[in-house]
Amino acid sequence: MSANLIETKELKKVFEGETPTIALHDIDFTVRKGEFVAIVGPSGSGKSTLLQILGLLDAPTSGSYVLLNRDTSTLTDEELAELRNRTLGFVFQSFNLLARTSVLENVKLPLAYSKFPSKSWDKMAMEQISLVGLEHRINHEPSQLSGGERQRVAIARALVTNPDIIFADEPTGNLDSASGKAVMDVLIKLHQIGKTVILITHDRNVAKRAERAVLFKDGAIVWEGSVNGIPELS
Amino acid sequence: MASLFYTAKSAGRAVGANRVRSGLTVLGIVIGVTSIILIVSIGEGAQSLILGQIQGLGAETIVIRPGRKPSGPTDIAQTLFADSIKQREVDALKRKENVPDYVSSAPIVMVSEAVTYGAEAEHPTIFGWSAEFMASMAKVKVASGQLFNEADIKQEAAVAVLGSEVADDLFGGDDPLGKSVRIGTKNFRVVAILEKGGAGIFNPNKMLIIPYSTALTYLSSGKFYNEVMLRVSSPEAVDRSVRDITATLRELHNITDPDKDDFYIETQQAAIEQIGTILSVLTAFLSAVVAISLVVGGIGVMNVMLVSVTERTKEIGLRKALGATNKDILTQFLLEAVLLTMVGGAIGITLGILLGFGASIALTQQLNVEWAFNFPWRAAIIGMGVSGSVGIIFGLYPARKASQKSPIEALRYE
Repeated sequence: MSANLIETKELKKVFEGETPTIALHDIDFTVRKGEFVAIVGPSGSGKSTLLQILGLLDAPTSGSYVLLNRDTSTLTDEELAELRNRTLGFVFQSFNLLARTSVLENVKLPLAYSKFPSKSWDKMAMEQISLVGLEHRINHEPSQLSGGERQRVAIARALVTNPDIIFADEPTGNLDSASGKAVMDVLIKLHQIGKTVILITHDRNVAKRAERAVLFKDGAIVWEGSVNGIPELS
Repeated sequence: MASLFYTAKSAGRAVGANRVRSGLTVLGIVIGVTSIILIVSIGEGAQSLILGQIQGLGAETIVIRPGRKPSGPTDIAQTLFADSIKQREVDALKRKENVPDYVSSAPIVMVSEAVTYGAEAEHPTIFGWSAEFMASMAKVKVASGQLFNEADIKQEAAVAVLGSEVADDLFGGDDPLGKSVRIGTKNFRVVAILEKGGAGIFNPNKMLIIPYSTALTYLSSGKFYNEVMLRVSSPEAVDRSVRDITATLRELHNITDPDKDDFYIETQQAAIEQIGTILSVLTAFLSAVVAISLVVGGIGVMNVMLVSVTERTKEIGLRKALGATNKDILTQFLLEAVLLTMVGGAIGITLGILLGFGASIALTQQLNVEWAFNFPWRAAIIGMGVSGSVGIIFGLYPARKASQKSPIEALRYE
């Protein structure tokens, strides 16, 4: 059994059309349990496409992707949905919270599709809301929150099913620097308590708060190493 | 799979989020279900009224009419002008050896003439009949004067009994008793006024009764009766008496082939069955027409659900990213559609019942009849069932469309 949570081999993604676009070229990528990995690259470099495939939201055109020792190409739609719910947590750049729905209800949303008994939902959601410091805002709706608070709600939602891996896609992209820093502090805290975090960002300063970086360019990994040594792209 | 309770709660929240749109969407369903409840409620009211009145004639009453039994509106005329029932036939039926259970009978001659008093002219329903037979059958009392009797009938007396409305229309506030009204070319002395009430099939308020013998001699074009009402000793004797009457009349008319009968007999039971069938068919037909509005309402629901699916594409993507299966999304949108139509159905049932109740009060006052309001349980249950079914049928396509969205394409949707 591999120690890697995530392992891809020769992963390829082609978007069909009049002129097919190769979004990912033969990606070999691994993530070990408890790692905090930053995937860095300019816009259009393929990093978000990789996150969508790693997050089981999209399927690769070819290559293999093994998640938690399971070959994802053999899974049914129901099994993929269950894996997303149980083992993956998503934090999106645009928060993606349900409008006209309270903070508590938004955080509880993944539990509705889980096997956790409904009587434990409130307690589980409250634990994560406390972790992101929003217990005083549980009855507020997203429109009543600041950008940073919305993103912290999204993080609480990503954590509520106690997943193995947190995917954060440009989590600071829509935030001012103070709110962005607060969100990154929460992600670092998650890493410190043992969560595996995969961060997608185009911002090298944000990436530097991870422990390992992978640099993308034109759909391929061009560099991999410590966050302090991310090279400039020519 | 998400719990049904949670999904129903989410569906309720989604429906409640757009109250005005949801309200307008279910309007077609509301109208459809209201109409069904109203039609069934009024139909049942009419049925119980008519059946009650027929039963009021007395279970031991048998009606004999000339001609073939009408099977459609065009046959009515041949019945009106058929001349196979005359005094000879009535006399034969009175004989104990022919109809042992015979108690009494009263021929009816229908008169189509205007009635005038001075400058006033009216067109009431004029029956050449037995006033006593009519009063006992319609359960109506005499307000003033005295009904004409068998002696008046025998003497072909020119006397008339007026229904309360006829008296009012012709005489205004004057007392009609002893005064003469003119029917056709003959004057009739008013001998009695009936009390108001007892309205129904034979609405005595709008009736004018003269002796059938007088009607036959002076106001009828032929010497035949339009109908004979005959009473037998008990309801149990009705079937036996129908056989006796049939045999007597066939013998009298030398009929050997039953298909060539020149008369037909109706009993209370047959009339009840016939009217019950007619009203049931009518109610079913009207309900079918109303069903069209439910289909239109269903199409409205489908349209709005399709818009909703498009508007909430990103939400669908998010739910899928968080672990919702295709089945979860399908169930949620289907429940939303069913909730919409069921709410519409519930509003429609409430409105239909209120309107049905209002209609029964209005009809009671306007027609001066005891129009009963029957709570349409069966229609209410069918209404809810139909509403739910409309939701499932017309919600399925949008719900399926929502469930089949790819999570990433849905999340990318702007």
